[in-house]
Amino acid sequence: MSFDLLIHGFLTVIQPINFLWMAGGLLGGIFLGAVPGIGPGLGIILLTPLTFYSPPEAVFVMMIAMYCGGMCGGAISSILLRIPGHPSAAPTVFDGYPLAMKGQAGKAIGTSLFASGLGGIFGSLVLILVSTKLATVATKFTPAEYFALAVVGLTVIASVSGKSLGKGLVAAAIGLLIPTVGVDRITGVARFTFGFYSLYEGFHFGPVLVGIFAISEVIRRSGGFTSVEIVAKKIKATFPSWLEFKELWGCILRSSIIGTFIGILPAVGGTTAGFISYGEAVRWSKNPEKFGTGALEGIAAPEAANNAAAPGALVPLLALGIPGSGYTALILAAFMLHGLRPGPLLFVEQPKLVYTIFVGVLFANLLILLLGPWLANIFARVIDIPYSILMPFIIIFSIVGAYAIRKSHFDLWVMFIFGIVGYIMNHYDYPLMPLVLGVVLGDMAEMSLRRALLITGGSFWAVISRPITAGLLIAAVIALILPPLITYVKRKRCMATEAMGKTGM
Amino acid sequence: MKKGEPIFLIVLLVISIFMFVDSIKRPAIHVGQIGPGVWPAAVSGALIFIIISFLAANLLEQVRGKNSMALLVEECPVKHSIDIEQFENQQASKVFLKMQQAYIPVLVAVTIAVCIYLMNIIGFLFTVPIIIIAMIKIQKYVLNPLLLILIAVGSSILLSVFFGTVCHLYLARGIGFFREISYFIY
Repeated sequence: MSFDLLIHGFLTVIQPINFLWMAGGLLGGIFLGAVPGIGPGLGIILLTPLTFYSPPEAVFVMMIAMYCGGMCGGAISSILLRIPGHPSAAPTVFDGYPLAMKGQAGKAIGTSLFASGLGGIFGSLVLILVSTKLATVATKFTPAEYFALAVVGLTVIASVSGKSLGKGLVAAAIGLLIPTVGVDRITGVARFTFGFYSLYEGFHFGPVLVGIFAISEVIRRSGGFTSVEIVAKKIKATFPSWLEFKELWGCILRSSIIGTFIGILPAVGGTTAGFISYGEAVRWSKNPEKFGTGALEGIAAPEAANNAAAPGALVPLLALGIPGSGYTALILAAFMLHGLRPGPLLFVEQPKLVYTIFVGVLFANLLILLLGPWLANIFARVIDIPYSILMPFIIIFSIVGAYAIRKSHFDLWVMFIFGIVGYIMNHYDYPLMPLVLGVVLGDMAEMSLRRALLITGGSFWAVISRPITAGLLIAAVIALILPPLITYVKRKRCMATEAMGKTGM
Repeated sequence: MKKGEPIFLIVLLVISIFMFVDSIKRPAIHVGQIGPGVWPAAVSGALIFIIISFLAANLLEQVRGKNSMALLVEECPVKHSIDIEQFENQQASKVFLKMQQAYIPVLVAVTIAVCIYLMNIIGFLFTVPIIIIAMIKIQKYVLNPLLLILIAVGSSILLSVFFGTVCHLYLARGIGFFREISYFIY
C-alpha cells in the first residue's frame, strides 16, 4: 500500500468536478436502490456507455458510489413498502417494516443508513489493505491462472442463479457464446458472421447488456405490472442515540466482518451476507425474541453486511479482474468499455486510478453517514414516482448509450434483439446475471486458455496442473456445487424432520 | 415448466446445434494452436447437453402425470372465472383490461423497434418526443395533452444538449431536413 498514492487519490476525489460526480453517483444509487425493481445495476449499465468520453477517475468513482448508494437505498423501500429495493435488502424487511408500522420509520431508516455507512467504511478499509497485497501476488499470474480466475468468476453463477442452477448454466452458456461472434482475434477467422459485414466486429457487450437489463425490464414492467402507490408521509430519519449505539456497535462490527469476507468470495454475494449476518445477530443478541418486531439490531445487521460486501466484492474485481458479484460484473464491463482491464496489471499501469477508486469508495460511505438522513427524507418521497414516467427516459438513455459506443445503428438493433431475449428469459425465470457474467468473462476465459495452451504446446494437463491454477479450479468446482448441495441437504433434513414429526404424532 | 418454455428451449437447442456444427467444421488445431472452433463448440455442446436434460426431465414429469394434474388445476379456475365474469357487467371491464395488458409488452416492443428504425431517418431530436408520448399513452398515464407535448419537446431539446454537448456523445442526426435542424441543437 502506498501512502503517496492514497494522498494522490484523496486530492483527486476532492476536486470539485470529481466530488460532484461521486455525489451524483451516490444520489443516483440511493434513488435507484430505493425504487423497487430497479436497483443500482440499471444505473451502472446505462451510465457505462454514456460516460464513454468522460475521464475514468470521475466515472469509476461515480459508478462505485452508485453501487454503494444502491446497497443502502434498498433499505428505504424495505422499511416503507415491505418490498426490498434489491435482494440484499430483503432481511431488512423483517424488522424495518414492523418498526415503520409502529410509527418509527425515521428511526428505522436512520439506523439502516448509519449501519450502512459504518459497514461500508469497514469494507473500504479492508479493500485498501487486502487488494494491494493480492494484486502483488497476482502480478506473477500467467494466462493459465487468468483462465482459472475466469472460471472462478463464472462460479458466481451459483449465487446469482436463484432457485435453479440449471437455468443459470443455460444463461451463462448463452453469455459465453455471445462474444464468439465475429472475427477471432488470434487466428483472424470469422465465426458466425454469415457474410454480414456488421457482424465481423461481433456483438459489442455494451448494447447487449443495455438490452438485456434495461429494455427487457421496460417491456416486462409495461405488461400489467402496476407501480406501487403509497402516500409518502413526512419522514425525519434519525441516527441511533448514544445508548442505542452502545448496544448496536458489536452487531455492526460483526456484520461488517461477515459482509466484507463474504463480499470478497467470488461465488457469494451481498444477499447471502445480509441473511447470514441477520442470523448471527439473532444468535448473539441478548433479546432474540425482539427480532421480527422492530429490533434495531435486525435492521443494522443486514445493512452493515450488505454495504460491507460492496467494497468486499471490489477486492477480487480490482486485484484479480474477476467480479465478486453481479453488480461488479457490470462495473467490470464499464472498465472494459474504457479500455481498462482490472487486475494486477491495473495496479502497475494505472496505480493512481486504483487509489482514487479506493478513496472514492471510502468517501462515498462517509457521505452516506454525513448526508444520509437528509437524503432519506427526500428519497422516501421518490418511490412515489410512477414507472410510466420513468419508462420512456430509461428507453432514451438506453438508446443513447447503445448508439454512442460505435456510432452504429446496428448496435441499436442488437440492443433491441437482446432486450427481447432478456424479456423471454425473464418470463421463463432464467436469471440474467449469469448471462452478464458469461458476456464479460467469456472472452477472457477463451483467450487465456488458448494463450496458455500455446505456451504449453497444446498440453491441457500442463495448464491445469499448475499449482495456483489447480487450486483455483478446485475452488471453482466447490463453489459451483456447494450452494445447491447445501440446499439439497437442508431440504432432505427438513423432509426427514417433518416425516419424523408426523410419525411421532 | 411454464407454458411455452419447451418451445423456447427447442429454439435455443436448434441455434446451439447450428453453432456446434459450424464450429466443428473449423480446424481444431490451427497452425499449432487451438483453433477458433474449439471454444464455441465446447460451450454450445455443453448448452445442448443441458437443454436436452431439461427437456428430458420435463418429458419424464409429464409421463409421470404430475404436470397434467397441475395443468388441470391451473386451467379450471381461469376458465371458470372467465365464464362467470363474462356475465357480470362490473367484472367484464376487468377481464378486458387483463386482455389488454397482455398486449402492452408487445406494443411497447413494437414501438421501440419503430423508434429505432425512425431514428435513422429523423434523428434523435425528433424521435425522443415520439418515444415519450407513445410510452405514456401506451401506459394510459393520464396527463394534460399540452403538458405532455411540452414535456416531450422540452426533454428532447434538453437531452440532446446534455448528451450531445455536455457529454460529447454522438447522437443520430437523421437525413435531410432533420439532419440540418439537429446541427442547431447539438
